[in-house]
Amino acid sequence: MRSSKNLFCRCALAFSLLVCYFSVLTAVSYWKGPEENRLKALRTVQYADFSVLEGAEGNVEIGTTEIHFHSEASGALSGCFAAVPLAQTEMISVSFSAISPAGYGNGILYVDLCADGYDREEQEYRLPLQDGQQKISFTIAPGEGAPDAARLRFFTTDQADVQIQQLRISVLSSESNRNLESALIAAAASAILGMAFLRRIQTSRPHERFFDFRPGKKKAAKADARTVILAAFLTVLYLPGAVFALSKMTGLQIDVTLQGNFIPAEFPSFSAEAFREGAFQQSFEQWWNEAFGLRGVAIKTYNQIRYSAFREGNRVIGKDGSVFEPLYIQEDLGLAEQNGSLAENQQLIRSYVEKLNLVADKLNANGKPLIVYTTANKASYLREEIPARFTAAQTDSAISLADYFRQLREEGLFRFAYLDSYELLQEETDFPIFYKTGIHWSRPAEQKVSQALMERIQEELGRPTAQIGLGKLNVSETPYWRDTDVYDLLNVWKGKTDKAYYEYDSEAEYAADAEEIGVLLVGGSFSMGFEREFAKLKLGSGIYYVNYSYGSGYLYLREDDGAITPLDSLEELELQTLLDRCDVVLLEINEAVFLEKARQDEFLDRLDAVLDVYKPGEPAMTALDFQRKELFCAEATEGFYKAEETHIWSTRNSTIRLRDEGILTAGLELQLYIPAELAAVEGDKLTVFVNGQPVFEHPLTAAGNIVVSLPPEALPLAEGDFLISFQCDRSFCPRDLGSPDERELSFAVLYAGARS
Amino acid sequence: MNITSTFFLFLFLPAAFLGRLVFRRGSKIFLLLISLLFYAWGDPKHLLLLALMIVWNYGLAAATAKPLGNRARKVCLAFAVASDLAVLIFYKYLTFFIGCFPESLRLPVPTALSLPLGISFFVFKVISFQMDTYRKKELAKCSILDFALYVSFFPQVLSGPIARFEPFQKQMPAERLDLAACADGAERFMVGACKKLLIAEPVALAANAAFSAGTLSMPLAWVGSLAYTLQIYYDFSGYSDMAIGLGKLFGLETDENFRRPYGSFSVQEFWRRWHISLSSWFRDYVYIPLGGSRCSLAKTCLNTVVVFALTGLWHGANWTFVVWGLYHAAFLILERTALKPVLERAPGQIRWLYTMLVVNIGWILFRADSLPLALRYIGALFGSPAGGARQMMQLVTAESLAAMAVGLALIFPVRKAVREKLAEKAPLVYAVVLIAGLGAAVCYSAGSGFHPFLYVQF
Repeated sequence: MRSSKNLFCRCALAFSLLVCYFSVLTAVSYWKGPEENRLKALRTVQYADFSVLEGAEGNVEIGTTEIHFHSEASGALSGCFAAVPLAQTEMISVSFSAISPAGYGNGILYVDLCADGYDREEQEYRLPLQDGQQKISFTIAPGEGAPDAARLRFFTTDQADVQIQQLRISVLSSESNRNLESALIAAAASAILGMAFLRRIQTSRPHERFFDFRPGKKKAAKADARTVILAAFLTVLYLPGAVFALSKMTGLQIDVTLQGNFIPAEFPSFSAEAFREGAFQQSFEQWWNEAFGLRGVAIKTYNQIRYSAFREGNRVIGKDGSVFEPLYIQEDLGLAEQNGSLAENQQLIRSYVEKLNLVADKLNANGKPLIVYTTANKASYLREEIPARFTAAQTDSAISLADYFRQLREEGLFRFAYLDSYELLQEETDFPIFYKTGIHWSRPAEQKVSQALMERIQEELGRPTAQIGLGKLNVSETPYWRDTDVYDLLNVWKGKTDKAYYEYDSEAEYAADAEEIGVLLVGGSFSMGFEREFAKLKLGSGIYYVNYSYGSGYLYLREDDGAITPLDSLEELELQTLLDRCDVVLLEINEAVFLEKARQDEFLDRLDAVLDVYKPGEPAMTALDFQRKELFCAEATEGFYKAEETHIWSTRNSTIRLRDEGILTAGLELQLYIPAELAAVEGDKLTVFVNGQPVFEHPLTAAGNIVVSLPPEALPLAEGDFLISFQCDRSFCPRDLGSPDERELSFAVLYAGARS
Repeated sequence: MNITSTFFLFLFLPAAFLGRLVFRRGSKIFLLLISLLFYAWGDPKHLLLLALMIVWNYGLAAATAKPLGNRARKVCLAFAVASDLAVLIFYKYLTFFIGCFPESLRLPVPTALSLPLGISFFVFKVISFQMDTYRKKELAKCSILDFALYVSFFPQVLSGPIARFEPFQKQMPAERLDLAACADGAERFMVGACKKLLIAEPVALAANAAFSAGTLSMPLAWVGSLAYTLQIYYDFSGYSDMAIGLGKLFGLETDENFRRPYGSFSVQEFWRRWHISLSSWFRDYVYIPLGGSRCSLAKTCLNTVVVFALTGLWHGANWTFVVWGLYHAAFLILERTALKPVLERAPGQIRWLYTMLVVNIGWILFRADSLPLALRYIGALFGSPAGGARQMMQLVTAESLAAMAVGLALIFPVRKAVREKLAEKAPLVYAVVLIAGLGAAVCYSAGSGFHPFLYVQF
């Protein structure tokens, strides 16, 4: 009897705690919306709502817990869609995990909204797929002029094998927050009810109660306060776990979504070894730290406290709420000299200009001008908003490197075309150049610079090309593309934002005799604006954008059809082929990375090396030399696998095209490696040909490194180039020897070039 | 495992508390298991060492308690204490001691030696158990379960307090939980979490900035030293509050470890209020056995020097800690001798300022990486104020300053008065304030490691 009463008491206690939990939940859910409106889920989209896209049959499987896209060849459509209502829809929140097995992580997965006459880039999210698991969350706003309903599509046209799991899609509408008071009353009432019930259990069954609680002579209020403290404490302790469990069980997204990109921590697999080393514990804590319930609420509240009380955040918050990335401020105030003396840094910039001149000369010799443009710096425009802790560090003699760069131009040191976007934009008064909320320039500023770049291209090429025409300046309350990118990263409930966002109507203008041009664009995130503009308005035959922020892990090539090729290193970039396709090279100089580029600009070094051998349509390299990797050109080789750190593996038949006058005078040297796995059959051999003539034979029974040294007189000549071909009688597959490597390998080349 | 981490707060602690409710009858076993898991989670490599220390000391204490002659018991005790100290020295001080010898005389040091978590605390616990057992034989009759739980009790195993066995054993967890004690424990935990997360951590940013600044102006030096003075108090006393609160939550009372030490009017008083469990340990097991103060002045002074040199060394294997201990010993001796008549006549404010100045400068010795750096820092306190305002603006954030202001305000007795008054007159308001504090602390715990990227990394 007593135990059953105890059980009742425990259940009652649990119930009362649950009531308290929900009171807090209620308050939080009403509190989390913006001041005037809050988002309410109109509906959620489930796996069952998806159908296979027309033309993608056989390439998609839609299950109850995952969607599986698989297509073995590039160009085949693999995708599905769900119908979503857009009338009254403020935004669509999408989050999922994408899992690709090794070797399939190179394609792009598109998520977009589409209907008849409604297929815009603004409603498109491109996810570059990677091997392994990626956790993604983002929102898509229908934008102005959206239809009442559309298809929410997930698709890829690349070779892919990707599983979409933990899919959560909510169609959100905006709703007035006028019920806040009633919500708070409901929350308070339920909290009081919970407390009263808890107290009731404690006092009504003094003999059977589970907790031995004796208020004694203390006032009832004190006892209530203790109860509240304990209940709140337990609520705070148990709520995140309870929400996590509830969310996992029901698939509901109870927490708020955080903005920004993250590298998600994965749930670790347990092993005794990992536990003994502490690795499991560390990984588990990292995973839990990202997984617990209401994490978003906690993080946003933390950020809001610091933002509102101290103007602090994960980015620099200016005096009027403008958000900055610190690197831009440091550059603008000349604080970059902290990394070296001012004189040293200026010398670096001077050397960088000389390097640009050399490359410009070589490009000009091939009829391809180099246009360098510096991006505008938010800190330069909003200098008065920079927090005092930065301005206090500025010395009187400080000069920004961008200003020094301009000084060099005044000295007439530039032999390349130059566009200074700061000068171009500083007279603009029709629109803000930078918003409080974005790290990049505003949309109209981006359009103006794009327009100026196209004019500059025409001027440098000396022939008519397509131009950008800017029309009416539109104003909207809705930010365009990345107008709020850096503000979003703050992840606060409410902060200072701009009231209006601008955008010009734009269109392509073609002169009757305008020529189609190809553009090689090299730069960081600012250049993405020009790339999108060029591709959208179809201003030429193609734009090839190389994101050069490889120091930060972003190195990829994007072609104007949107296809992204992630690059592990610049040697993978088929630069000679790109130069063939392009008429002009555009190079962005961003103030935040100016010094870094001046110290080492791998792209410029590579371009310089490639231009030494460049002949349109005939890719070649000076030498295959792993000490000087910038010389390497993948397109000057055939029958080889991806270059490794010190060597490159060949298939049984391969060729390398070298173009170096040094070989004519000094001769040719080849350093090869014959693996022991090849050595088996007597009579099998590796034969080396130069310009079609056999020059060397090596029996495969002798494994190890070999050096082939051929004097100039032993080399057959053919129009200055040396086409070196290899023919090997055998190959092997490492997989047969227990390795996961499935390649068919023959021999490796360590060096090919002029004799030393 | 960090007890302010989201893992501890939202997973380990709720699971442990739920288990405590469910396993009422086997609460000791459950608490021991959960404590060992807690230790293994943070330092799995040394769990075996902890277990061996428990078994070894339990066995030796049983031997000491046997009806042997005094001499034999003393030998047993000496052996037990020596073995415990040998473990501590091996893991914590071996490299330091060997480094004190000239290079030509040095022995090879084991390179892969990592410091077991909480070793200074649990070794001192087992030594106190040996000493107490020697004095009170009946203590050795305890069960190994009680002893193991005493040594490894999870709120105390990593950073104390260094509880004594007898009071711990007397209130071993009952089957029933006392709701009032649970509420007290929750309240104490909340206060500790606020101290640690809302004051100590923001204040630490200012301290770190000052102690790592290349050139140090006088204003920044003072702000930095003050920040560290506050940081170390709120960090350590916050942890102690949480440990005490957790103890109460699981039905075990723990003695206070801090009693407003920055309200002291002399260095002597400071040491009666600061890290009480450690200072009382040294008092009971080192100072008094050496003769304490009931001997000649010279001997008393010598005892003080020995005890404080050891106290310093206990904090870390570095000369800075030893010098910090000797620095305090010097002021304690001065207060017994030359300063005594001056302090007796001085007004309270002057005595408080004197104490705070001594303690504050002492913390510089404690915090600095080396003695030359400490001396350089102390020099900056009395150096040029030029460039101070600019340096302060650059390195000290508004958040740190606000936390320092709150931290400073709360070291005065006003905190206790307000707290008691609020708890008495408006207990629900007090509860709401506490809950808001806990909420903010939890948000700080969850949010401080959040750094999103602007772009997807390729």
